[in-house]
Amino acid sequence: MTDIKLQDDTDGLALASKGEPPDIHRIPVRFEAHDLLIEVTADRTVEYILTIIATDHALLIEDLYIVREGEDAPLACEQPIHDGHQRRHHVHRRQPVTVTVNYQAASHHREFRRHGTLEAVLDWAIRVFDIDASMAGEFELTRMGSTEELPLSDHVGHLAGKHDAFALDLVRGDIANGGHHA
Amino acid sequence: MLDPAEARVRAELDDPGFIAGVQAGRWRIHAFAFPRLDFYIAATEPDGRTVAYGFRGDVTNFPATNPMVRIWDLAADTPLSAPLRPKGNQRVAITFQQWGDDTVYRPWDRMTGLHNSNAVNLPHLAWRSDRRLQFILEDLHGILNLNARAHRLRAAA
Repeated sequence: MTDIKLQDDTDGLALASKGEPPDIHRIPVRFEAHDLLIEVTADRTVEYILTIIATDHALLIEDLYIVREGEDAPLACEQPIHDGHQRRHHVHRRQPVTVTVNYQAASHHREFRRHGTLEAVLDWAIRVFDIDASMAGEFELTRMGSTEELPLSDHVGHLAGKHDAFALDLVRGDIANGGHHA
Repeated sequence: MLDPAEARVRAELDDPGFIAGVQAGRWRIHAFAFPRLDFYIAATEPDGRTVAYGFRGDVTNFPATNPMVRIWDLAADTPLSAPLRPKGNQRVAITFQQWGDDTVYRPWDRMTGLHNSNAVNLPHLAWRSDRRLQFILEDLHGILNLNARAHRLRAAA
């Protein structure tokens, strides 16, 4: 165990070895569960990313917004992209998403902002299904009917894609059977 | 000539999703000397403290062969001793238990997948050649931060 903060003084191996000109930055961008790297210069604004996504997907810029990973407030179009950290930028459609969660024989649904995380959905589901907090670590979310556990850092909007609603199952997280843990 | 497995790993370390995890402080690479990949993953302790645990991976013949990952004291260059391993619920305890091969006990791991038919019994957690390293990092990060969820929910109650 190490008492360190991973976001300080850390770059991915590839980031550190690219040797790109210092005025070009590669910004990770995610839209509807697709990841891409967009090269930008320091003078580019958020509108530049929106223009690329809107053009590629035949959408209007005004129907989209951007949130930086770890932030809650959408970025203004005229805001510079580069913040010195090359954090991922999430592009979302503007309309919220209705998420239904099924657990045993019951279902609950609620509207979420597209940049809400699945972790927030899971926290809400555990509360609304009245599961004790001490059991919270046992649960995961899957797409309805699937067994594949979803990464909780992902945004609701990336799972929804172009849709305004989707359904998830609240399931017990699987553990491997064996070893000799006492 | 670069080993195809090494080339594939290097390409994945350049994936936007992987880089996003680094920038968000979820994980980072400590060293990569093929086939050895040493990395840290952020974790939440039962008391709510944020720490990081080291891991040593073997990515020989990646991605056709499962990675093999052990929880590792990267400063001392030894397996992390049992008292220092992550604490938490049963999922945490089983994942980081000391067992015969002492790899992380998740079905995607090269040794755990074979043990007790874990990969066959839990195919959604088993390794497939179409998976990426990020799958492993997300999985370990999720397990290592289960304590945070209980903290959040108790605080909100």
